[in-house]
Amino acid sequence: MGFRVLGRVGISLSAALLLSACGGGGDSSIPGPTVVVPPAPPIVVAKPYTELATREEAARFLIQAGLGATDAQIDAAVGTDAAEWIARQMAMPATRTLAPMQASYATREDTDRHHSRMLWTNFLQADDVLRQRMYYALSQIFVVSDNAFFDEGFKSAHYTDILTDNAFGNYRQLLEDVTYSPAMGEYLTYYRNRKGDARTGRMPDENYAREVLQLFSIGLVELNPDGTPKPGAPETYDNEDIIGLARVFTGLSGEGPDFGYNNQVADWRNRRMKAYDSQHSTLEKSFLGTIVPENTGADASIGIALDTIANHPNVGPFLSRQLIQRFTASSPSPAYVARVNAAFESGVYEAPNGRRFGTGARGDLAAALAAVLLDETVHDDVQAANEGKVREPVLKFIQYHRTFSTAPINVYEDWRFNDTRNPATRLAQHPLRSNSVFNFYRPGYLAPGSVTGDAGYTAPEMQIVTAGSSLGFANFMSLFILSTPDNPVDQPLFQPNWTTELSMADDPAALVDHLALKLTAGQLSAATRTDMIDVIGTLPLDPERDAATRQDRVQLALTMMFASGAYAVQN
Amino acid sequence: MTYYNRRQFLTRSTLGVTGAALGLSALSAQSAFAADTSGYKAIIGLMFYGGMDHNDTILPTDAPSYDALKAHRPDIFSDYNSESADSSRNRANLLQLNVAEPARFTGRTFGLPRELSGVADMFNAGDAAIIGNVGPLLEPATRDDFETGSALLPKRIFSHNDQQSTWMALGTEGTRLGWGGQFADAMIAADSTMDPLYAAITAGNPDVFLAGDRARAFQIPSVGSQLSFNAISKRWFLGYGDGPDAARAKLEAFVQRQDFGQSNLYRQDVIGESGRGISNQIEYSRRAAAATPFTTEFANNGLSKQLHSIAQSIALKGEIGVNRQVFYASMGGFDTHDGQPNSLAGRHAEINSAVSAFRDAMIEIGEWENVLVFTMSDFGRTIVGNGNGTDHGWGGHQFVMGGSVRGGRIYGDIPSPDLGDPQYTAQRGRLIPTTAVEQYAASIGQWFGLDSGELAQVFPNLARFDRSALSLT
Repeated sequence: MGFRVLGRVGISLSAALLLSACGGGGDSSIPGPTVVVPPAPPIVVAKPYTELATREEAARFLIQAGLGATDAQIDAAVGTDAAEWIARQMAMPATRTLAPMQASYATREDTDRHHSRMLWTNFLQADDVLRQRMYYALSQIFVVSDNAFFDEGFKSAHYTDILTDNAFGNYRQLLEDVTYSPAMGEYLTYYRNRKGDARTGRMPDENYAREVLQLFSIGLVELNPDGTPKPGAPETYDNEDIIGLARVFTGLSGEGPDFGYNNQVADWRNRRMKAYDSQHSTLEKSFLGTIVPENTGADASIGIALDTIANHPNVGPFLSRQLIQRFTASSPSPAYVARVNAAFESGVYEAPNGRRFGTGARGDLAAALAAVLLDETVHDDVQAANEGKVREPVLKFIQYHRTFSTAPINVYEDWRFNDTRNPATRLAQHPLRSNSVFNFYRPGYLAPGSVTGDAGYTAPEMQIVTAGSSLGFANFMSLFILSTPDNPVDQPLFQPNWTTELSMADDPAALVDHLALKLTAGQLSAATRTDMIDVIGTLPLDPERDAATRQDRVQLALTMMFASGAYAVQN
Repeated sequence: MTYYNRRQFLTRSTLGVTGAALGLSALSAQSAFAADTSGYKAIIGLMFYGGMDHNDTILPTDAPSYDALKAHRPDIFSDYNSESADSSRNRANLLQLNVAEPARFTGRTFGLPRELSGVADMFNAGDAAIIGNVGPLLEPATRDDFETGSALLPKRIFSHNDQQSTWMALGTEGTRLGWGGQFADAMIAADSTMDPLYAAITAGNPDVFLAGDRARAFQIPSVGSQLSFNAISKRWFLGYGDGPDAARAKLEAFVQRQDFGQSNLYRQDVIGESGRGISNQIEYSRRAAAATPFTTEFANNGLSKQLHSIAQSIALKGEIGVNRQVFYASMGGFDTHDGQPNSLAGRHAEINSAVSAFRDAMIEIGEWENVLVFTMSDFGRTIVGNGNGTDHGWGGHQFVMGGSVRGGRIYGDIPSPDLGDPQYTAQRGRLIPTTAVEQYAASIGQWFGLDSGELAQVFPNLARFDRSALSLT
């Protein structure tokens, strides 16, 4: 990866070539002394730093941006530019969830589990992996937990489609679709939130007003464009703002003739909520320096509020930092945040190979995401000690299956996918099901008693890496790594394709290096590698039980790989 | 439960002296590591995530106050069917608390909903007390101070994550040291024979509460779970015979190894945590398997399971060689913006079953005098309802329980439901605390054995408050 640093050189070289071309033209018209012109040096066409020149680089990028890759997918990416992969992914049609759920609903009536399994199916099999990855990232920022409506899978599916459809769209539209979704309305309790009542003293519910500011848009303190707090960390809003904004989110209910619950249309759960002026506050609404005059209707008030929120200068750095955290870095540098924010603000990102992302409108998520994934620090060969991202358990699990599974996976047949939250026995995480609107972990989390925490590097995912979850994760993976291939009759799911690995079982070093490339982009530490080779070599091969003992070695190798630090942290 | 034990630690007379001695300058001269580690003591912090509504936990039982509360939140009382003879919020059905020194409240009386019957019994038996209107403060404050900003105020008062952190670590999210962890640090420093591994134990998530300089949260498994690493314990996976046995032994060492010479800091952290965790958890569960089971039965709910694990850990104290332990357990679901009557009552019942069984279990093994259970929550909630829910507040009421608690009392204040009281914010009736978290926590620390110098180090704002208001034990 030595020439990675050429990225920047490449840009300056092209600039130099342009200059000399212009200069040369000018010079030819000027007579002068004859000089011996040395032969022009060979023109070095430096490749953009985003070219995936080696298998390591290809594997690394597909880990960062995708959901896991087979040998063939890694090979196919070698020699291509990461920007082109992103462009192809963004152009793919979205794999949606509501329509297929409705289509299969006739045969499956438990809609609560249905939605979760639809998510798993998409994660494990959908082709639009970047969009699925972005969906999972957005679902951890615009948090809804289906805990709140377990038996209403269509409501969750509608919400999932909103995040999926807007994954490469614009922030303002995403914020609006989220705000009007029955799922968020119910989760943050403003569905059927009524205006205040002076007679009884009742006041509007403040829940969404507060959390939309704290978590979905601007955060608590004023930020610089690089995501650092402004001097003195001035707070972005106070309680008066919340009281004013709470009046805005009144009057929303399900689609129907009126605000009342009983008259809502049957499928209100998967339709945009409707604003009813009859229950919308008629008072003046004052927040964030904006005043909505009294007697402004619900949709108009919400529109003004969302414009005000979306236009706040905090939105770019606030979201950019979290997007980076979900893809490439647990503790992004301020400069990295600033670069992504610049793409968010301008709505355009131009990749090193010239590919452009984004529409040019502020808040363009495609531009911001491309900036996250193509950043120079993601592709250079500098491995700073504080770089990298602690992997999310759900993504680790998906990666295992995408790396080795070939047969379609019918998650409807496996009860374990109903809920993978138990840290002691499963993943400590389940899509769209965190314990609160604060997600599974916080973007500002500093792990207690850790070297990263002592150094001030945030580590959100460490919030669910605990003594209990470490063993739980290892054991959950072992269900798939160790059990399944021995028992295809009772466990027909998740049959891995280990053809290549089995052929290497008699050469532990080759096997370890091969797995290390696929799963960690070749980043095992020397000590880990030595240990693994030793342990695998200790397990004897038996010519009389050749297939079985080869498989034991592959299983042992995978068990260790999934317990390694190189695997736990992508970089 | 002897009266002598209850009084030995803090009487009013000694408190006055202690309070006066708490000026920072006076304390810096005191010797370090002076914590009392004699005997055995454990504190058990229960965190109720989301902000438990204090107004719907400790209710007024005198008619004027009850009616005033109801008038602030008619929909909530209506959802509770409070007029029905059967309702837990019918004034007649509230469980009366026999509060010591009732004259302090000039005719106002208090009760708990029947879902908290075990807590009410403990209170009336003198084994539980209430800390009224406690919350994060930097210095005393009233409505005027709040509205005009003339008092130093904690940051981000109404934000969940920040107030959770402020309750447990005295600063907004990202604060590094929790006071539970710092209490454990003091004990580890004072007694070199103690195994630091078991000084700070969580039965749930490892939150910042238990983060110390040396102490870190050890996560104990639930009772009855025999932890093992499948790839090793299930021998059929990798085969039988000397070769596979040798490979298993090496695999066991591999997954418990905490350092693979990695330069990346995150990899160092993850491998340290998982190697240590796998090793310690398996070892702990091996020891716990040998413990005598309790006769006391714990209910099958989240908090009860956590307190069961903690009770078991306390029973193992001799085995694991500790004489001071800080425990942590938690439950969520208290952010009742909507449908409060449907959710809060069930959560109260869960708390009640858990702490009642814990008390019984501690009495069973003779440790009730030596444990102090106390509650925390993000904040209290608005007294004025938003329909059938309530919104984020600030001060709220908490419980302390234990055989040495000077119980049957309300420490601090419970302001009346009259919003004219200067401890309410101008809108919605959010309580401005009259007792600081630091006062509350310091009184727990004092019982635990920290000396006044250590307390002043952990609680930098303590000197701004009158300590004599709290003599819990």
